[in-house]
Amino acid sequence: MFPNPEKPPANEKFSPLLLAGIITRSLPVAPLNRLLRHMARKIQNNHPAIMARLRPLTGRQFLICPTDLPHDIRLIIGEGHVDCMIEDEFMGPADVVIRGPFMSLMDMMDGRVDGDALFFSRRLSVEGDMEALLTLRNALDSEDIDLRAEILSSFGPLRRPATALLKIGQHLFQSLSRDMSSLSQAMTKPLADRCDGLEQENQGLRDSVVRLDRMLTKTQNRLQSLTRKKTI
Amino acid sequence: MTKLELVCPAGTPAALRVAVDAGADAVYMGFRDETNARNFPGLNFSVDELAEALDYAHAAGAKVLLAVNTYATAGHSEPWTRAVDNAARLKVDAIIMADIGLLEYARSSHPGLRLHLSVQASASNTVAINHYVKEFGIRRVVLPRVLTVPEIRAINSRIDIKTEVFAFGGMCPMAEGRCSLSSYITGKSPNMNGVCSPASHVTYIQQGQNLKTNLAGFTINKFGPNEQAGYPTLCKGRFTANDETGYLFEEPTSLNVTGILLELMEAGVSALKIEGRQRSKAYVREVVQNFRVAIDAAARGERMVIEMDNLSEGGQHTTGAYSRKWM
Repeated sequence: MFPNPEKPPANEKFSPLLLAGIITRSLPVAPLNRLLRHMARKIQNNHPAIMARLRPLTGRQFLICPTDLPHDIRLIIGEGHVDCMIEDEFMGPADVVIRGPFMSLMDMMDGRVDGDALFFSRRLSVEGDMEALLTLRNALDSEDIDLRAEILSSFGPLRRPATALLKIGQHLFQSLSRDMSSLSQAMTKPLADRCDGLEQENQGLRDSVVRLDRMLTKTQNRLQSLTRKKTI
Repeated sequence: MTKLELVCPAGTPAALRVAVDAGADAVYMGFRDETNARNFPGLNFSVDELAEALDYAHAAGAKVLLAVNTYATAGHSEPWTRAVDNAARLKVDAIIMADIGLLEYARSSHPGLRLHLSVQASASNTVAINHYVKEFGIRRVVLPRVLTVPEIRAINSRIDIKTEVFAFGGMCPMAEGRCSLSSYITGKSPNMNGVCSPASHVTYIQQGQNLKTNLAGFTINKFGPNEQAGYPTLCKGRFTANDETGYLFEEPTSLNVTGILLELMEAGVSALKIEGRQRSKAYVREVVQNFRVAIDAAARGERMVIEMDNLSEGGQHTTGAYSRKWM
């Protein structure tokens, strides 16, 4: 079992989500919990086949940690149902911990990006019971789940304005992402250039050590050979 | 030269729909048990799901191939014979098998069932292939990933059945059906239990920015910060011996033949198999779409290299033994 990880200091890219995370850190969790519970119920009702695949996981707990948001999400597989809630400090250890940028986690659950590819590229890290994780991943992937649609459906009669708002938000998010990425690159460029210079210098030194090492080996061999000749 | 058939993986019903919609000519899958070589938790099809898959694929003009390609356990062959019976009853387009006892069972019990020889049979020469043709009436052989293109051409010139070769995905450097590396340290085998590096034996340990991958308590690899990672398979492990650390058999990489489709067609290959029933539908969608484009281009005589390294183990690709230069 994995202890609840402390939220590490944000080392994610300078992004709108990181900014949003800082702003929303102090917001109450009750409405978020209501939204998560509603989503879990909707997925259960709309995709019963998933529950059959999740049956071996009864009692298992997953901790999903978006690295660019202030809250973690606890997923508990019950008998025939799934509970989903914001993590709090009194919850026990989880069987599996999944960490990654929020949008990557969302895209993976939606089936838009491949989880293994995220793992290869190190954007996703996982710890704990890998068999349980694989079962969860395969179960979620076995159906066509549109998380965005499930979230929007929880707005009831306000669904249409919420959808319009989401579209505007996505557009703003994309343009803000581009702007903040440019800003981040401009801020870090001098440091990156300096690192490149140091890396080149470092490589030069490593090559010199290798050359010296070879010369030393040759000299030692030569000395041994001379010593043998002298002995003979 | 005939157009290459695109044979795609489906670990779940959603992946099957994605593969068919993305342009697969055929989709292969297995039942949710040890009768197939991708027996991973939460993966694969129930009998009812296979029936639905057949309806969906056939409506779109795609074929469905069922893999029953592990070796039946002595004294406990019922799951395998039941899988064959269900495949025949549901009228799958072909069944992919390796075990000679099961091949004989399928041939005698269901003479109309089309049989393909799985790569797990490791039939890598004309004598072996012709033996399977003569004794069991197999109609297609999936060739092991150990042959060069000239070797495939030579085989095709001396057999009367179609050949299918691996085109993308897991780059297994061992002779399929005969690899015991995984079972050596986990006690579970790809050949008998359908698992290589079973998830139950895998541990990932994050050490700061470094990632350590363990299999059954043995360290398989350590990846530095931002270094592309791979699966914890023994054949792609990085080991230290005599103070030197390196990859002993193969480094983390994936097979990709988009760049040599014309050569494979010229060598008489009929079908391309995409590996990855254990991968997500996002993987299936991207790989199938890209191979559809590359195969259609090859049919027009055009060469099209599509890297897809974002989906590849270690973030890199190879043509493996097809372009082997070391022998």
